[in-house]
Amino acid sequence: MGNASRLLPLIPLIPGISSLVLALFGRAMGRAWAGRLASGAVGASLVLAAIGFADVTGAAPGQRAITVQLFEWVAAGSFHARAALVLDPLSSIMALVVTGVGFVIHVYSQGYMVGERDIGRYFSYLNLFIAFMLLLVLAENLLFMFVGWEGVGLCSYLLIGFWFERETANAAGMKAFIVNRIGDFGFLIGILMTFVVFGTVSFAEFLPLVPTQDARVLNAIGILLFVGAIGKSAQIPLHVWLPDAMVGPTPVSALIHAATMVTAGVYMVARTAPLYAEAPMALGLVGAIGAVTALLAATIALAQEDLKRVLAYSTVSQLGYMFLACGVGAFSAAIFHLVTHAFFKALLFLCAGSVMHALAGETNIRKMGGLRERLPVTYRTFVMGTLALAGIPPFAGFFSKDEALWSAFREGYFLLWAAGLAGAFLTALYMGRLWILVFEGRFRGGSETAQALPESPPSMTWPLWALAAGSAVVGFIGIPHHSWIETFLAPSLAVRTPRPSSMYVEASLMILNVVIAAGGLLLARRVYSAEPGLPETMAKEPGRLHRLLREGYGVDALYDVLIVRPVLLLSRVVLWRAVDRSLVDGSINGWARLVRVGGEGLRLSQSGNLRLYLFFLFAGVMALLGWMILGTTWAS
Amino acid sequence: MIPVQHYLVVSALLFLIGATGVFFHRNLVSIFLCVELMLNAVNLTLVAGSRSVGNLEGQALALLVIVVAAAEAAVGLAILIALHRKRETINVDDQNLLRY
Amino acid sequence: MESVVFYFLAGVSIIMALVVAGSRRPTYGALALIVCFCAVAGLYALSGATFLAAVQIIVYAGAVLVVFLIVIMLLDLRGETSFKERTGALRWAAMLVGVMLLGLMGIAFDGLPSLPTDEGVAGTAAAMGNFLLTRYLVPFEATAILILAALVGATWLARRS
Repeated sequence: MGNASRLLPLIPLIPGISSLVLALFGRAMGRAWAGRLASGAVGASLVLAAIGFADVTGAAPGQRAITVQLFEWVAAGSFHARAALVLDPLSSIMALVVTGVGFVIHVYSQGYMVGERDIGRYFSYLNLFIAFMLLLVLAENLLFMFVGWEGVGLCSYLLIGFWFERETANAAGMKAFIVNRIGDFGFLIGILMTFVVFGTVSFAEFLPLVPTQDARVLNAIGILLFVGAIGKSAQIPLHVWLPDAMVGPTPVSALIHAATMVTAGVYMVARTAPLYAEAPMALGLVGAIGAVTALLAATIALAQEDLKRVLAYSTVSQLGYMFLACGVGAFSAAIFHLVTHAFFKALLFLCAGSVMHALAGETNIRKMGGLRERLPVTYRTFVMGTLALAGIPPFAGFFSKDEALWSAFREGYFLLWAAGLAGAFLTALYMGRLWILVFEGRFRGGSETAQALPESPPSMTWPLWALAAGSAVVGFIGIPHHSWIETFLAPSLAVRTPRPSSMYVEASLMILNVVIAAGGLLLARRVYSAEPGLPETMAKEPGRLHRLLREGYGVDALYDVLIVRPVLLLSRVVLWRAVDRSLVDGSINGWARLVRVGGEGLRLSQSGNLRLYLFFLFAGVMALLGWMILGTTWAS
Repeated sequence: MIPVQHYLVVSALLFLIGATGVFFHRNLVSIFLCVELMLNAVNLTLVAGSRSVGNLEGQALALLVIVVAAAEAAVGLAILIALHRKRETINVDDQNLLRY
Repeated sequence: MESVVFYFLAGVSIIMALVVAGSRRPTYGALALIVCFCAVAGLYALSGATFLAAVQIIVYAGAVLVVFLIVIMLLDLRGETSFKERTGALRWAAMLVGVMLLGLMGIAFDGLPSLPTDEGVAGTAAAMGNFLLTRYLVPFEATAILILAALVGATWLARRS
């Protein structure tokens, strides 16, 4: 255990330093070395995280938390916050996921970003992101976690807008940041309230005190913190930034907007699980929003034409599943799904990147098709990812999704379960659609894209294989009734004794899941393979429902009218014209004008007329004299 | 014994006449002459004061005033000459180069 | 006896001052001023400041005003135009100021108690010399420097450039 306390701070520190080095010397280092340094730094963190994980696993069940304090951060009156890291089962798993998937994606980036300028900046941001994310998952208290929370938001903005010459990239980055900020507002109030109620923001200190507090207070805190999660994890109604964030480089989408940053909300809820366990209203909200998001996002994904946007909405939907699981008290199931999702969603995004790489940046699936033979590795790994996401055993997604849905059913949340099941069907449906439209059938693209069709280089393909292997295998850490992950995470989370249930019901539901998933895939094949011309017809004349789904139920348009435009109007008319120009500039300029006009006026007195000067001289002296004399006479 | 007030009255009248002259002449030399008259009036006051108080301070100061007036007259007339040479006019109204 | 001399000298000086203020030609003004200074010198002597009277005649009337006359003749100045044309609108204001000053003086002299007359120390040359070289030494020497400066300045200013 000793070496862990020394090594723990290094886990976020190494990528942080690497980020700084790349920021300063990235250009001088050249593309190849920048990528190697970045990947190496994350790799080092991965090794350390693995060591930490081994330490935690090896320790006795009661002693599985190592806290390392870095320094006393805030000491203001009664408010204390330490800058400290904690390594326990939950954080060690998260650290492994972040560094593991992060490492793979860094290697992938070395191949994918060939030919881009400013690679040093890219890898610097990417490393910085890893550093902040690790800070987030390893933080010992809410405030320190918030540092990581904000930091990953910043890196997300920087990376979405990496190609800053493009207007869309800048807008998308700002949208992401601002929407996040709205969530962060609630989060921050939640943190403050935690301090006010408990006197501390340290997890180890306030979580045991939870049962002493009134449920209303706990509900309030829970809801406020969850607001932050809604923003960060792109749940309805703050989901609008994630699909637009796809204008960033694809490895960024894979890492940040699939595997790690967006899962921070889920992690936060899991971390504060003891609080949510005693706050039924807050937990109900979590579950409800999760379920609604899972279902609605899946419907929207069905109508998207952009490859990455389908995956983006899919991510939103799957995050909904995680919150659904939390909502029914199955926190370890949520984390389980987080882990499996990290693997196959990152894989799917990297496959998308591979496709885009081969088609010179094309993302419209209507212009794809028939890539099965031309991109064999990509095809095979994509299929594995799809099967995992849809929930076909033995791939990972099956186990984790099944666990989540079963928990909902078992605890009696039938509505949530039904929503989840419907969502699973749709998930299989849209993934099947994607599979067929991209890889099967005839190639529908133009001649330019038809030419650039080689399979991706090894730096891109072996990460695909690595993630695919993970997607295949990682499910087995959560086999029902022998779930390693559940027992492993138990000390970190609040464990509710599950309701008694029947094995038969459980088994039949499991079979139902498989049937639903397979059914979705087959239906997709039926619809999309049977009519090869369907994509074109759909593109030309979308039906009303199709349009509604494609525009995401008009949420973006609603926000535009309700919020964006009024704010812009306010800024331009009131604050810019009235206040800034007229008031501030006016008063400053007014003073200047006063001085100038005064000077010009006074200047006229310099007539050069000596006699006038003399006259005034005399008159002044006389006045003075008169004052003195009269003063004396009156006094006497 | 002439009371001191009489001297003061004479001095004041001389000063006033000198001031009037300064104001009403157009010729710079004439103005200068009147300034000398004013200085002289002040000297008279100083002497009267010395007589009233009983020591020599007033007279010493009057002496110094005379010296200063002489120096000032010298420099002033030199300026006048330079001015006449440059601009050919000694009219005070024409000396307006320092106007706005 | 003394009063007669006083009034005579005072009258001369005032009349000559009026001539200076009112004359159209600077030559007349300068000459009148010489006479005025001499009268004032007489007044000094009457007060006991004999040394000062002598200095007044020698330096002021005899040197300074002679320089004035020389400059007047050098510059060959003509006479001035009429009184009214010379002064313009401001003469009324100026005359008003002058009247006010007279009034002020009247008030002042009414209110002042009569001043003592103490002919304690006479301003003879010996007494003045003693005084100047002891109590007023520094100003005395300073004036020497002043004269030097004036000399240099006047020479330089009037040079032919």
